[in-house]
Amino acid sequence: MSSASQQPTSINPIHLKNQFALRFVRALNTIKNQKGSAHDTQMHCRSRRVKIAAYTAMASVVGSRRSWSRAVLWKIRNRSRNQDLLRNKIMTNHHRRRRHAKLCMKRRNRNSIREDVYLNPFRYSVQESKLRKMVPGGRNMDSWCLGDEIADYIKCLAAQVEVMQTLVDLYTVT
Amino acid sequence: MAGENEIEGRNRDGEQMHYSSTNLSSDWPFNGSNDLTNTSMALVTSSNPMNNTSCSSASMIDSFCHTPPTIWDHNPTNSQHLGAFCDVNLQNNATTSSSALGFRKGNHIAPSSWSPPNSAVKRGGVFLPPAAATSTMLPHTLSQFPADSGFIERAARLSSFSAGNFEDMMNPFGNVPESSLSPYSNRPVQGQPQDGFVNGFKSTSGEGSKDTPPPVDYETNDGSQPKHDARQGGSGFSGNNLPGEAEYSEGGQDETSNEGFGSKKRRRSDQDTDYNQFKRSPQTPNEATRNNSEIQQKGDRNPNSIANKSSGKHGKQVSQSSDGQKEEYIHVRARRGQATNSHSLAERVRREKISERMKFLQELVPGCSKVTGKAVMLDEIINYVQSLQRQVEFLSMKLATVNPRMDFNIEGLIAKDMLESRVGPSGTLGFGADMAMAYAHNPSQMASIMQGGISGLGSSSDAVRRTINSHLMAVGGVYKDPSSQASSAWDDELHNIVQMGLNPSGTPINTQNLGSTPPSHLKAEP
Repeated sequence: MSSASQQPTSINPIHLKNQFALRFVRALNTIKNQKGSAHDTQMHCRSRRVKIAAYTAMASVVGSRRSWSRAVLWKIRNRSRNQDLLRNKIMTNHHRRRRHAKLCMKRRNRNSIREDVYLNPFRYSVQESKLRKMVPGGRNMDSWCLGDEIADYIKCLAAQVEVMQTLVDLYTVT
Repeated sequence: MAGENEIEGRNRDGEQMHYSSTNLSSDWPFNGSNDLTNTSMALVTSSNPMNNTSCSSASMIDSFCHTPPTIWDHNPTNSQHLGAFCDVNLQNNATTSSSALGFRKGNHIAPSSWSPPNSAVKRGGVFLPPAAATSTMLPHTLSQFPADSGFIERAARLSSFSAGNFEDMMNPFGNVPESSLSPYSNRPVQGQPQDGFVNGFKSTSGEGSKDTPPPVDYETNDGSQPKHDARQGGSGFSGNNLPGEAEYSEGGQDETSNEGFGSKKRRRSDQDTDYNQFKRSPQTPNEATRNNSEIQQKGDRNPNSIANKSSGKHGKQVSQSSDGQKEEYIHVRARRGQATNSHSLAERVRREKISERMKFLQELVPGCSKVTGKAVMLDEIINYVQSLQRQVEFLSMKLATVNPRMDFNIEGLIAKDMLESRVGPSGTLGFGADMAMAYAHNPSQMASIMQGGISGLGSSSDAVRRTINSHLMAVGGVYKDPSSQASSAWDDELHNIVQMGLNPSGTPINTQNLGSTPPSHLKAEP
């Protein structure tokens, strides 16, 4: 991905889409092969997994260049880590509960502290707070950084939607 | 998971970015405005993950303080001649238009001519030249001074006063209301005619007009404010750095508390800041530089105060509130010789950055070209992002329902086909050739591909369809259906591979690129 970061911006959309399509398809394969028959798992579980796969694929394409991609990857990594911890059979129930509670507490504290900061109507407008909530990793940034991240995020989101739409068309047509 | 590696890499990258950013910052004055935004972006983004905002800003300041003297070396020599200085500033406008803070609107005049007029304030009767100079310069640079004539006449009126008695001078205008101190306020001042001279300056919007020196000079010695008398007591034009800056920080704290829509509070605290700012005005450029560095350091501590003060020249309430909303931790460099204007400097820089970003976002968000105003723009952006996210959800749901028989083996197929097709000449190359091919193709195809937004991807979907068809029909034939096209495409690819040689670029698989490039390559080379 290092070369991707050095590429001029003009090349990025196509490259972005291609890379994203590749990774996304790989992820879809993984999902498909994960739990045997697809009909077993719930519909919305699978769609959620697909969604996560899409975001992860896009974030991994962008890599660490962008704060939002880092935030996405970090979130997903933490989530998987927490889930692994929770599902870890070695841990007793007690440990599991405590660990989970601790993690949740940390997250809650973090959220509450940051929320105070960026929900303050005197500092940020309502729209800006909304934007911060929507863009991953937008909590700890200043306004201009946020704008920059938003721009990149929108670009990548649009590319992501295009690729996914193409895939859907592909698979519904044939 | 790949994410882990990337996150660890991110930490390393962040550090590197941080250190490289300090090098970049020293190049600020010499770079174009684009580079400026890039470096500023890099600086800010690097500082964010590092959480070393103070460190980075301090290093920035250190590295930067060396550079301004090179730019403004000639300025102190001209500080004696305001007119000449203003001219020099105008020249500087032209030459260093890409100076540290990306001043593009030609409002250099104000910040750069800040301190010299202040030093010349001690000499009476020097106000007419700056007023005249600024008046002549105004048409060039400051098109947003609607009150030029009023400005000039007030400046002329003020110029008749002796320099040393500004406090006394201001006292007759003693009923300077709180709001009248800030120049270019559009707020209706509780207008006594005596305050006209101050108000005249304030009649212009607070965009950049606050930067002209004369009103600052006059307001420097506004001891009429009862609140400030105790603090300022007869210091006059003495460059009291310490008390000024102490007041600055206090005012800053006032600012932070008064941020937002409290107009009266803002006025008062802004007057504090204005007063403190003007207190520092008669300093020499060297002091100004030091002050700037100190101000910047203070600014790091009170970023909102800086932004507030700079914005808090009592412009329109709307613009101020929107500025207040956007104020955040911005590390601004002030050029040398702009002692007390760091606020307006910072504000100008921020505004320019934000407007740049807004323009960029306008291009990104479809249907936003006609929208003006930050609030509406933000609304549009929010709607767009929400709609995109909903679309992703919806599409993921659809993809989840896709018949699992329909293999998602596209990438495997493509990879396999690619490899199969080029077993011959590129057997040893493996993915290196693929990547080189892809990257070499992309630039050449950009023009043709970018004509249609999704054309590149559409071609990839064509390739995907072909692979699916081939897979469904039989594994043997590669691209049998669009045979001639595909074969020629493959031939072209092989040809290019031979031409380009080996350029192993370290990226992972670009088979999808290859899937897309042949058809698009066809488009490029009919």
